Amino acid sequence: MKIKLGVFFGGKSVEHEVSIITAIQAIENIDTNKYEVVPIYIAKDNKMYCGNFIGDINQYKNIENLLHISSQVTLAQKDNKTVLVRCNKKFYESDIYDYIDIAFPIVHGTNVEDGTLQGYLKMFNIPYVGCDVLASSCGMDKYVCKCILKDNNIPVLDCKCFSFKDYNENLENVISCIEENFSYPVIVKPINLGSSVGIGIAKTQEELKDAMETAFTYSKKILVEKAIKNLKEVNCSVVGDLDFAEASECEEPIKTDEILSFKDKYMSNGKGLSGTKSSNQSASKYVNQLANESIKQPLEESLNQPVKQPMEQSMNSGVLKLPADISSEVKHTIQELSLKTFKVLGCCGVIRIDFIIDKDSNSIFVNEVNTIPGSLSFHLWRATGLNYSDLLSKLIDLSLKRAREEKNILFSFDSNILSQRSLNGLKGLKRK
Amino acid sequence: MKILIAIEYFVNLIILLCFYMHMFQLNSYFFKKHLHWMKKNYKKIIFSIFLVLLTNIFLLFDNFILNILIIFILGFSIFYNFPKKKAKIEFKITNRVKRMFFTEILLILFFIAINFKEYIFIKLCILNILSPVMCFLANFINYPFESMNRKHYINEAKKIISDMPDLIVIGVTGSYGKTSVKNFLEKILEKKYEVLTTPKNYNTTMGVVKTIRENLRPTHQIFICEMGATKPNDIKEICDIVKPKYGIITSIGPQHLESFKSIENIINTKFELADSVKENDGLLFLNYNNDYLAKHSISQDCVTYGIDDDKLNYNAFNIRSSSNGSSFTVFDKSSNKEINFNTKLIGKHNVINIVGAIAISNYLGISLADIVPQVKLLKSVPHRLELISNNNFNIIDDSYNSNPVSSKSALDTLAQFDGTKIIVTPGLIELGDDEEKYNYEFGRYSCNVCDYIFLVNSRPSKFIFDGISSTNFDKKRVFFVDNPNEAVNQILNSSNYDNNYFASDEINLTKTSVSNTNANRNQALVLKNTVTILLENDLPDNYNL
Repeated sequence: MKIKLGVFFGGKSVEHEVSIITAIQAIENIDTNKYEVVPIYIAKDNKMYCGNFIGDINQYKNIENLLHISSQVTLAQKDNKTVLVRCNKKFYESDIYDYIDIAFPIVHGTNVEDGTLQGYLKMFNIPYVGCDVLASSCGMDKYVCKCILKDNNIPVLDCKCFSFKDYNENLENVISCIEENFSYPVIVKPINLGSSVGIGIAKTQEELKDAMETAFTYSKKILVEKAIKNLKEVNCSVVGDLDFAEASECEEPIKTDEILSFKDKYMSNGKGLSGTKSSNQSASKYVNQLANESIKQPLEESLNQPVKQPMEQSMNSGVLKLPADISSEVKHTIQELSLKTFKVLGCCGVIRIDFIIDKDSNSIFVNEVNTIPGSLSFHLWRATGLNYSDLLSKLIDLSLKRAREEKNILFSFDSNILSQRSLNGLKGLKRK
Repeated sequence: MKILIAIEYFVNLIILLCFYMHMFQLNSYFFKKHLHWMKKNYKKIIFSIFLVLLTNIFLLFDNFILNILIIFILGFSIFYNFPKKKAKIEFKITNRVKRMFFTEILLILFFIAINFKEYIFIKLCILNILSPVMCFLANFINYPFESMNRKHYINEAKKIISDMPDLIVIGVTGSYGKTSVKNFLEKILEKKYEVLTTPKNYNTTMGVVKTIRENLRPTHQIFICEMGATKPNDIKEICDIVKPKYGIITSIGPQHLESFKSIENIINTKFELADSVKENDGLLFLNYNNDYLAKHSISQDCVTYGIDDDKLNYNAFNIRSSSNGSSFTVFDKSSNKEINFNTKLIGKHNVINIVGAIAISNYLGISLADIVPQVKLLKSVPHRLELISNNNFNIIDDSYNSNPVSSKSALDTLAQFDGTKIIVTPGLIELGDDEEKYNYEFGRYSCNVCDYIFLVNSRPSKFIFDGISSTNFDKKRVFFVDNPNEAVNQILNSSNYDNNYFASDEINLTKTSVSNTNANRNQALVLKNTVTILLENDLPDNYNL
């Protein structure tokens, strides 16, 4: 009997396509001696689909057709199992598509990575890989995340947070507040988006307004912080849980634009793509392109060679230094800060923390936390000496461990208070 | 009129069938055990038969007044047979019971259908009289199907186990302490492994099979299997299914003597686990504080554990108990290490059981230092020497199926407490011919420890009283009550504690009536500042008539 692993990916998020790539990459690398994968695709309307072709990247060129030949499913608890129930079963099919023992959410961005999917899974009493609901939502909301880190003396850049209401009704105040606190250039970010979507840099008041306008299309709240002119970005990954965690090798993405945008991160091959707003659409173009390249072969190659291969390039931009070009002291500080961040947020599984180094002042800041990093940061772990397959097994074991620990916390009392107490005191509730 | 009588006969029949089926279930569907039970409770059975016979004789006269009388007598019979108290172990409508009822109904219909119009009342009467043995008949008819069904489930379970070659199975058996050791092991091993245990006290072959079929998942790394036995070969049957790699025998004592006949049979049955472990190249763990286990010679390596004995592989010493729990030191001979443990549990036998769980866990790769915090988290098995502490008012709830050894050690534990010590018990059961002897001894021993003794009216309680009478214990300090609640109420009423506080849900000792308090027909007890009540054994319904 193999462990049935339900891999969830997709979802109502701007990083939908990226998540498909990460998930299918992971599925290709899972230890099939131990696990049997059940891929579960969450479409952009949050409906979940299963089927023979859901795990095939080539099918994602034509999603409409793929959904047509797959079954829509939903989770349910039956007997002691968590099962996938067919929503529109045909008369000769059984209700139950399959069952799963463990859930592995590989999703990026709002509406899924932010604790939504984790909460959904929790309702079905099934162990799931990665951060729990709270850690996921804290990691997703950049402002909340900064507040927690700041409170624990982890260096972050000062920021201001504004709602769409502030922006609409008191634009003057908002701008003067920004100008009082920061000097141009400033960075404007939607509060809860990963992969640098919707991020803009502003050198003047006009540009600031534009950037805010753009950011508000992705989120109801935005964040403004000082832009560091002479910066170096360094990423570090952490794997573990509250008992034991370790930090990986550091990588250094090289910016091609002023900031590392979605284009740099995921589309360094895609040419002729317009600005950030259309990034969503272009990502799907990219998936098509990727599918044509045949995903499997380069992946295998990339596992054998530490050098960048198309697949790896795709997810981490063509320009990347691994290990990062930093001194061993800086690396040590970054790893320490990563572990501290991991602990403070109460994470579990694998996360990636993005740092900014201000080259002028040589100070290090935590910029962003990704509770489900693209490609699950496997390249960082491979560079640290842990291959992808072992990394995945480790993450799955951690999910089981957490489920065990949670089982021991007293959540409900065995006895039903209502069954024994005299209910006289409750009579007041009755309508007279 | 006649229709009413017929309906009454029918209702009475159904109630009787349900009642006997319930008892048959409590007697584990064993013919001999049930027959034995019937012998012991012949009065009730005869009485219910007598009522039915009486009505049938009256019926022969076909007199209007007598017919009215019949309706009343049958009404009384229905009332008499109707279950009045809530059963302690409830009647579970399993598929097997459903099938048996189905067969019974077929039999009844068949019987009535023969010459339908004639002798209808006599037939109904005969059915009523036959009701005690109907369950045997149904069981006998269903037997071929039941055994096929059983075999099918067993094979399914075997296949599931063989599909998981990496699964480590730990067999836990013993006359007592099985469930405790199982729970302790689960808690400690959870530190590192995915563990499945047989739930509650599912320790029969079919209980284990059910657990495997319904709960075993490929994620599990360890399966802790509690193995109970009521007759020889029971353990072997379970071992053949689960193939234990590790085995632990927690104790051997005179339990279920009625079906085992002799203590040798009990020992041999428990050591069936040892044989199986040997076949699987595994390791056996033995509680060497138990004389039967220490004296039994075996032909395989084993790890010994226990308390206060330097020769053991795992030895606990410096055991201290209080109302906060116990502390002890464990010495591991193989690594020559000593380490201190704390637990909320009380009683020496609990410490022994914990040491057993520590020994296995240590062999499975969890360091003693990692075990310490897990031991702190251990919880008592409900109703097994479970300490419920409220300031100066402690209740030691040991109401689950007691035996001579564990009841003696419960008294020893009670002796360690300060203040007034009270025992509430109906006595010990399932001891075969020794029932009188053990209860007599139990009574004598109680006198050494307790300030007050409350005996719950039952079959064995009179033997306890005989035991008490043989000492110079003040008989004014012995009370007879109808149920444990009554005893606790009387104690609470004698004390000046805030009574409402103790009518707590957890211990299920709700104050039955306040008027009872005011009447206060019983003499008040003289209590010290601290009061500890030991609730020893609470009998299931088939012993409590």
